Amino acid sequence: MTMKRLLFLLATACLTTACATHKLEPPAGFAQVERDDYSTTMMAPDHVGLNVRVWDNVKGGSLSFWGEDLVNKLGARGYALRAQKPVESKNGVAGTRFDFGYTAPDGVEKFYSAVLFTSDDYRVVLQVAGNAELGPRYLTRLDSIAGETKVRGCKLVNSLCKSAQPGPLKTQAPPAQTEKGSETKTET
Amino acid sequence: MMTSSRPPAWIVLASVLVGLPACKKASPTMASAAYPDEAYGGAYDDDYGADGEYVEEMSMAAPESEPEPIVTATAAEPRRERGRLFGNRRDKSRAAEKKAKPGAVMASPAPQSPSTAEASPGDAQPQQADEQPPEADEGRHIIYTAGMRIAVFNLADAIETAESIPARHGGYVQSMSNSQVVLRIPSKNLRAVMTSLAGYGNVEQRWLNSQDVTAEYTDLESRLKALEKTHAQLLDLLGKARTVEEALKVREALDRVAAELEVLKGRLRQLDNMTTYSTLTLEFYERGPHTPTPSSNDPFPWVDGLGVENTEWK
Repeated sequence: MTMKRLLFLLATACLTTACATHKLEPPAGFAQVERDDYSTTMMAPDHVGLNVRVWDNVKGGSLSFWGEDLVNKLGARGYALRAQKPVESKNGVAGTRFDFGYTAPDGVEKFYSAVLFTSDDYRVVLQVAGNAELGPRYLTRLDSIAGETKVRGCKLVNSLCKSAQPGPLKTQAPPAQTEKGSETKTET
Repeated sequence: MMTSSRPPAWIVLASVLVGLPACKKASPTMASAAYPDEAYGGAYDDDYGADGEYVEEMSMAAPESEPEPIVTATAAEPRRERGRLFGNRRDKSRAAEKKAKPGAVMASPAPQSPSTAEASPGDAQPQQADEQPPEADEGRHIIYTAGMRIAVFNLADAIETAESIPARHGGYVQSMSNSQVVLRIPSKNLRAVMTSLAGYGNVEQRWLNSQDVTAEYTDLESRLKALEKTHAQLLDLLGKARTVEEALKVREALDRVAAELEVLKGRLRQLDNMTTYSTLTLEFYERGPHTPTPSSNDPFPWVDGLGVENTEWK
């Protein structure tokens, strides 16, 4: 009887929160706009967006593998990597924070930061973006926001949750960009 | 020879009424090609027999020297169609009978095909006009329906641009919503408009359908001509009606012809509009700034879901 009750409680807990792919309560100054199993979107009153996206991970999908993929592809879209540092989630999953600069097509400067976590089951990206002048206000809080994020899907043995940090990465200038391209070149 | 012991008007009416449905199917081109004069004359004779008086009366109304012999134009066309349906053997035998009756006006070779009736009497060219596919027929009637699905950075600007196209290229806006504009563009400008629109964004999809309605158009025109002649002849007959009953019958036939004429004209107008103006459906959708189209070669297109536009906007 006691065993049955224990299993029931475990199943209930799993169905409610414990088995979710990720968990992040809205930080101060953000309101949750939408949420499902694979994403959470929050917005600040000044239109700064905070967003968690989750994808299923694959075998060999380490932090360095996905970190390099992310930086290369964002670099191809005109994002300039400005800083890179290790972070850790609330439940101890290793992650890397990438800070980018970006100029929108209408010429507005943007800040954009992506924090990448990889577990055995998922790869999770916590990202924040807004107008460049608002960057300092939010970027200083990003480490603590990342530290409040729970990333699920870790296994006990040979876990990717503790995979090594990627080496120093660089963005390449996008192949056919004009103004943004020249700007990115100076960064790299 | 028959005498004038029976009133001819009801016979005329009956023949007109019998002839009407066949008018729909008659095509001048086909008729002129398939039915030479002898078959034509035979059909005429077949309708009215060798009723000399009747023929005389109608010939008076439209003497052979007139460009449009009324009876001929009215009755001959349906009869030609009947001749086509039942074969020419009967017509030929009637033609032979005609030759045996020199007194009958019907035996004269004057009646011409409907298209020839519009030409001057005795003119041999109309037959030629039917046989040649002249310059007037060189243009085909084609309905074009096209569409484009375009990814744009600014949806409002794109809609505004699309809305302004008729001002520059002609046509009009048929319908509009917040992401779709349906334009009616002069067909001759369709290609230019589609080319210029391709510059406003990423053309994700483009399609064009064409429907050739030349055959229907030609058929409608032929039927219209035939019915207009019938209409004119019926009007003439109405003026000659001797009794109220005759007048009513002619009137009834006139109403039917007029109604059918309107239907044909309406369809022709519709076809004209559809061929003159092409329908161009533009579907726009907004994409984030500089979001590239995911590469099909990328095994991990996940980063397409990242970036400023996916964080700040969505």
